[in-house]
Amino acid sequence: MKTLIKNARVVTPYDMREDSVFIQDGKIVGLKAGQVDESQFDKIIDLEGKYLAPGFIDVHNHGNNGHDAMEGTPEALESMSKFHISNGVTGFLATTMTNSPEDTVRAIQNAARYIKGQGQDAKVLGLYLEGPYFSQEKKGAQPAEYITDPNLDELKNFLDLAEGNVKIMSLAPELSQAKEAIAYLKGQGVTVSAGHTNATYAEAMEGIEEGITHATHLFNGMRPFSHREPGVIGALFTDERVACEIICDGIHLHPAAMKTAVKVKGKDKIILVSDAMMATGLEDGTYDLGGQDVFVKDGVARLENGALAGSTLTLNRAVYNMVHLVGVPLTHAVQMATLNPARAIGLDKEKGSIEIGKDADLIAFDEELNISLAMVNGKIQ
Amino acid sequence: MGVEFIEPAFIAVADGRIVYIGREFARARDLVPGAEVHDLSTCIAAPGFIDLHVHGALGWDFYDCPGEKINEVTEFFACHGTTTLLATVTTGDLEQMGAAVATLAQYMRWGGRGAEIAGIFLEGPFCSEARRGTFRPEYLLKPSWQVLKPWVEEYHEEICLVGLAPELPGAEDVVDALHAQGIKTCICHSDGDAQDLDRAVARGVTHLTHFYNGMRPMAHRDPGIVGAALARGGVTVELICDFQHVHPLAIEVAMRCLGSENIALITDAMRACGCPPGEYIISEQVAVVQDGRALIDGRTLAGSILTMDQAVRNMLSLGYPEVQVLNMASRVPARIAGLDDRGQLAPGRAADIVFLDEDYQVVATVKGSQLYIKEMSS
Repeated sequence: MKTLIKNARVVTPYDMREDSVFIQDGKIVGLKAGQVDESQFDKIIDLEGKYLAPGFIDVHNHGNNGHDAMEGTPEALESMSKFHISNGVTGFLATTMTNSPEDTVRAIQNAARYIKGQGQDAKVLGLYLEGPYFSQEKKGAQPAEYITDPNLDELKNFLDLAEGNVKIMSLAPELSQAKEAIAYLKGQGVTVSAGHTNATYAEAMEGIEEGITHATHLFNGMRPFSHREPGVIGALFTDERVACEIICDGIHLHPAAMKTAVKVKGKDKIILVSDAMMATGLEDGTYDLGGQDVFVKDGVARLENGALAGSTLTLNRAVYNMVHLVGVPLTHAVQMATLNPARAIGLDKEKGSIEIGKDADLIAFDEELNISLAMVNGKIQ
Repeated sequence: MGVEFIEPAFIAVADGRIVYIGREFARARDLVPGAEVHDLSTCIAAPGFIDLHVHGALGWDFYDCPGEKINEVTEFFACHGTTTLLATVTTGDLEQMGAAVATLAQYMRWGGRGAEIAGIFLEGPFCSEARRGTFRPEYLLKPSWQVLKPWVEEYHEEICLVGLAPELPGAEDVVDALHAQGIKTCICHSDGDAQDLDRAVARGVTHLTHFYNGMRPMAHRDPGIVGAALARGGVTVELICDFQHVHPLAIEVAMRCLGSENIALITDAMRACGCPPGEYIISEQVAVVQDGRALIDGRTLAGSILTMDQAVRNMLSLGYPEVQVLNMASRVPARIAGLDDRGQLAPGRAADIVFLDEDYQVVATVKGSQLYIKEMSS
């Protein structure tokens, strides 16, 4: 089966070009400008000038469409996968949040099991453990009663049960035992992220020296940047090793903060994430996040105390906002939602760009980022 | 454009101007026959430092410095490589501010020694109470042209720059009136938000004094003037690089967002600069100077005891390239203040030259036809 996608504006995302893309056996096998002999293809897709981009990869996603990764059921993950594909997300990390060890274990075991036999929708590419080793001061919507200092035995158990599927773990580097946890995670091939942290600049730098290379929703859940004590934000901002997640919904961050982040980090080190919770794709109302009531009004999710409780963002909107709120070129915004997240979880050899030999996880969209086609491993969804 | 090294270099100076800079000694000699020859062959020659924001030194503050003592201050700074400065008058008693302006303007008209006072910088009095720093609240005024008018009428040639908080009601009218007189404005001690910056820039206020200090901190949902400036660019800023006012990481963020071409190093030095540790009066309050900083009430920084050469050494210690750093101390502030005749070493430009040894200590400073050696006063 050989497929041709023609009349596309291909966002590779290294550049934008008017090429045809050839697909065979679930892989991208060719890119060609100009006339193509269509007779050698079994299937021809005419994009009529729409954009063709690598499928978005949402590395920080709790849920959508009424379901949450913490439910710990295959149905929840399957439903999330289906919703994701409609928004151009072809791969995501099932993201846990701080909760009881039992609930966390259930979510981990469920995802590990699900990944082995998952279907053809957006792929669960692994797990993102957001917590429970966080700062009480910067907990955001993480339930305070389950936040603890790192426990290496517990952590080892989480990783064992995940069967190699933990791709990112977020923790606060200033906590007791955090350095040991970072070293252990790094040794296990897990990307270690600083999140929900009150770390000073010095404490954050120690964490980076130990192996932190990722920042969980930069700015949100962090000690504020100050010109005398730049804090954890200053460290994540300026250290070249670190890639930073940004929730580009126009609610979590002021556009100027996002623009500053892009200028400081550069297009290669910004990762667009949704941090979406179960109300995404649904109407305003009352929902659940980690056993807490979340009130969603005008698409903004808050706990009763007013703290933001995840987002209702989808990655196609994040890319759109990056272009229209922050003013970055579309190629860069797409890179922040494709290649950069793929790199963060070590999948950039297979995914994240339109290159010969990579997986044919492809999406098509218009100027408004409305998704008109999504393909996972060469199969149209 | 002041961004290259010439080695070996010969500089010929006549009538306070550079007439030759290049590799050929014979040409330099022929252009100024009979000139004194100084051999500074182990030194780096850089454009003299231009300090846009400095209050004083050696016990004197331009706010209340007698005219006959100003040369002590300007010679002190010349020995630290500064060839041009804006004498900065702090927010204080209105009558005293007016007297300070008159004293400085008279000094400028007569001409002095040492670093040249190229203009007066009024740091206030239209500043934000929330971001007043050490300014006494009773001296903060609502923006009003009537306050500045008598000074400007008398001294519009000497007043170069006025700093104010653009979010205050009436600030825009004052800005327009100053610009109409050819006087520059900058944002200073302001609690403005991101929109206030946009409005100010649209009004032509594109410079920010001591960036980060005396401004609302950058928060991720309320970026303030700091966050907005970093994000939008299109502005110039000053940094006090004494490692007390601004953390090196904050400097790095500004460098990445704004670029060295838009950042001027300043001292914001006050009367304790060049003096031993102890107690000094700043804004009519006692500031304790020790460990390289001046604090009022043990917490509020009251200006610095920095000199431009130390600011340059501090920047170099952070690893920034020397050409960039030297530009930030000369060409960039010259551009900001509109001093087109200086800020770079080139024929036709002012002979404002600082000679630095390999550790970037000042060996000598040339200001016009004067040569200042550091040991003279420090």
